[in-house]
Amino acid sequence: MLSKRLGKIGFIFSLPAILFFVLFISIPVFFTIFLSFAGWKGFDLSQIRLVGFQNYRDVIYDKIFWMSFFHTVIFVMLTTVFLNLFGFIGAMIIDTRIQGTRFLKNAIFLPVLLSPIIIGIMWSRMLDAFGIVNKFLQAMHATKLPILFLGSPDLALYTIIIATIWQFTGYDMLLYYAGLQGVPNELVEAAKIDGASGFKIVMNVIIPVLSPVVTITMLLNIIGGFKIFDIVYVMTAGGPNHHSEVLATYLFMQAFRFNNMGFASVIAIVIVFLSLAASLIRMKITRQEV
Amino acid sequence: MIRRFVRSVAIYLFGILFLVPIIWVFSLSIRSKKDVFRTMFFTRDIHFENYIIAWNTFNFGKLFLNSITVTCISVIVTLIISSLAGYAFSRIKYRGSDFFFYVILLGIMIPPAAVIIPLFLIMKSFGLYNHHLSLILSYIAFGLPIAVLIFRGFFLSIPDELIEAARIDGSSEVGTFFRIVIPLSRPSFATVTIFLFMQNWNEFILALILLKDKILYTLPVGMANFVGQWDSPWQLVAAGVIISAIPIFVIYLLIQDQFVKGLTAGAVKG
Amino acid sequence: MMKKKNIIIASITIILFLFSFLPLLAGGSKEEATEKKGSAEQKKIVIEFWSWNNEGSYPIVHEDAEKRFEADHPNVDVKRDYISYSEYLVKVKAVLAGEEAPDVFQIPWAGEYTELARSGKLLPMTEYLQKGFPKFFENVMNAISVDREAWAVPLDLNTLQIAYNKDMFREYGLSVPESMDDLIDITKKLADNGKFGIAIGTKDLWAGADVFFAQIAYTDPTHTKMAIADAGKISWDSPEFVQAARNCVKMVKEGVFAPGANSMEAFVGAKNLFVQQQAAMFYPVGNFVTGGLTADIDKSFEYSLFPFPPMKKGDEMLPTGGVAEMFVVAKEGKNIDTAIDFLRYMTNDDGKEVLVANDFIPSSEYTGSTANLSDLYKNMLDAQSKAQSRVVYNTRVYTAAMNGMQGIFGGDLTAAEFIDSLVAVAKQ
Repeated sequence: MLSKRLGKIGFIFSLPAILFFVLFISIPVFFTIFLSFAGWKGFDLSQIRLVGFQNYRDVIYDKIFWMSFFHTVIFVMLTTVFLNLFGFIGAMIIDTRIQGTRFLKNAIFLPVLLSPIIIGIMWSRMLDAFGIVNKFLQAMHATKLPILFLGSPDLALYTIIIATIWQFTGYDMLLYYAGLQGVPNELVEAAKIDGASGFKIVMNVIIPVLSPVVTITMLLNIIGGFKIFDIVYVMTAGGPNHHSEVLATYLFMQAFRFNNMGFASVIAIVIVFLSLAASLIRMKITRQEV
Repeated sequence: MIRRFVRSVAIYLFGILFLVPIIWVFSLSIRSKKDVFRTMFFTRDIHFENYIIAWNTFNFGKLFLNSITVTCISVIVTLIISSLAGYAFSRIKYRGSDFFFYVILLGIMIPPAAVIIPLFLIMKSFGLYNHHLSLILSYIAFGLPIAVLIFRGFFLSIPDELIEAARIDGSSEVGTFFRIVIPLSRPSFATVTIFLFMQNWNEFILALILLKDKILYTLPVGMANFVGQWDSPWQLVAAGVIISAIPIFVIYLLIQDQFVKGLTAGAVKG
Repeated sequence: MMKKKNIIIASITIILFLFSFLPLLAGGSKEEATEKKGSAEQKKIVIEFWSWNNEGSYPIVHEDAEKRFEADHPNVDVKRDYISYSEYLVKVKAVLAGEEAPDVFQIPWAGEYTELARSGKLLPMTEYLQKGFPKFFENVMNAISVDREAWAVPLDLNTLQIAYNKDMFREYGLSVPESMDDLIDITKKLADNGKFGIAIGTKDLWAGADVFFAQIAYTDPTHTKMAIADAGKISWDSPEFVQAARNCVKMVKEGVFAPGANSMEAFVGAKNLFVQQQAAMFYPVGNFVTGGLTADIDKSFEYSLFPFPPMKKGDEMLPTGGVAEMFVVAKEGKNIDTAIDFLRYMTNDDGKEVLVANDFIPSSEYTGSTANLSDLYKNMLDAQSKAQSRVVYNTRVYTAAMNGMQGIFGGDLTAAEFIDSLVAVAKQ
């Protein structure tokens, strides 16, 4: 009887969350899935026509879709690796608690709190062909002509990646820092007594203990990376000539410039699918279920 | 001793270096209009009144009020709903609880850009288009996944004995929740608050689509509107950027200790 | 110490909490509007008006129309809203889908215009235009017609030309180029003196496409091929277009343009290069930006305009141009007649006076006084009569052209690849 009563209470407790979710997330998602099989210009609801797998076929044969797919994968890989790396190193430094680390922690975390729109605007202005970074490089005689960070097809994507890493290192850093608090001192001490060097301690003691933190942080980075939109939109809108186009910006363009809602919906499904796949892979590898 | 000192200095320096872009924006915000493209960093010609001009030009008062309204209400409601759900998912197994949990977790993967049109249509059918409530409800829904995740993680870490003791003493689930669990969970509340606040305060695309009238705009949309196609007064935009960053940074500073504790205890339990 | 922090946190939370509920009582803005008006006044008709031209002299023109209209119609309140261009299309789509469109709104030409015209959400204007509106120029009527129906009310026309720094030209002994080779020579001389040639911003895409169209004005002497290709009757790899693309690539390679085009928006970074006198020229300039440009330059130097030069010296100099601002009426608007009436006020004789006074060119014949017109205006008026089309109605082709030009400016697209991309999307 206790379990039955508990079960009912549990359901009631979680009901508001479930309701909200179903209403404002599940239903839109189902609609999006439905739209992926339809042709719709987005103007008139009465004009939705089912077209089967046509949209999927269009997407598969679309050159720009694969470009944005490729860019998104690069984005996810690079940001995840460096966010975790820098975040971890940052957390280790902060953990030493010496003078100045509190300031450093807040300094690095501050960008996390800012809107990606603002970050994008900020960095765009700084990296202008005649902006402060280029002026500085020229003053140092490092370059003669301005470097086109966002205007060059080769550099645009990586510039955005750097800005994103700058913004979110604090996020990973705090997660790792929190995780470090849970590392039992005895283990570290024991390793030190055994004569292990700093590096060995990190590799063989700390990281294994932190493995759940590592996997969940990586997963959050990966999921966030697959759906990245704001900062790319503001810095390059996918340009120049689609060289920094990512899945979400291409989705946006298809939906709002070409009025191709069905096509855009397929891209949306791809994004969710990729995140889902990453999540499942993580579950298999770590044999954890969150 | 000296080594410690040098290390500390290095750390401070690195912190400042990291903040250079923000310092640069601040320097931009106190320049005169003609200095905007001429100087690199700081000049003698300082114009603090840019902040007042920006406040008036961008109608910051309204933008602020709107952002605060939408963010605060959505965060508070999300806290309530997600803590209840997180508790249920962590402690009270009922048929389907795991299923619901994973479904909600899936919410993290949804790109807002993908669901704006359907969401827009739903809000429209409720008669909520161009009303703050549409944003608030959307933000609650989109905030639930991460909030539920963190709360559930935290609640899982509360020693079973405490809960059992309360149950044996005859406390109802609701009573246990309010009298025992919540007071213990201050850190997780801090963590969730920061995450939600951050997400909602800076949210852009839903606010863009779901609000029509300028009087209702939140900060991100209001600011993006000024940095449009035409040449904006950059020193004012910079001042606006600084102003809009202050509230959230203040909140972070106030509860950062609890925030980290919350992360430690449950968020990264994995 | 802990306690104080708690008190601060608690009080801030409570204050924010209370604070945040107050505006919610006001909530949507329609209620605020009627609240402010007070109970004594009768319900006013509200006409919502959207435009993205928030700077320059356009708001002056709009405001004047609003004032004149409200003076004659005291029960009408015209609410003007300016939304930045990058978000404009998104918002328009959203409100059209939700049937919350503004009564009157500005509409982009080309690409998006066709889609919107065919969406069924706009009011067909052909009949209305014959009642109470001036007679618009014929090529203007062609420009606003889709499927043989007019869908918009054209307000004014513009041309796109290259602005040049007269003082700088004088200083380096340069004169207005009469051929493309002249232009290349000029930019080389400027480079020797540490100055850039034509500042242009292609980050927001549209300006790049205009460079391409400016070349087509010369490579296609019949001035008809673009419309024919747009209709799908000839292919985009016809020799005229290929040559135009090649001209663009050549100019980019020879350094005619200032570096960094792809990282600058048309009217932000590029304009500043010109204003700061680091670039001797700036494109595209027309009456939509001369007001703001003159203000920014603030008399520090003199400037005038010339079109892209032809390939052969001695050929006529032809700018591109077309309709500048045009407005459509939402079909499901609640005050269609009032909205259309407002547009009549915008385009009538009084409206034209205001347009001319602000250096704009009305889309119908102007019979007022031309005595006090500035040189700049006369230049643009003259250019208007020779302006060639800069409009492609096929959204995909137009978008491909814009993106392709970014590629050309970035140096990673050849003329052949550019043309290929146009052909490819035209097939869809």
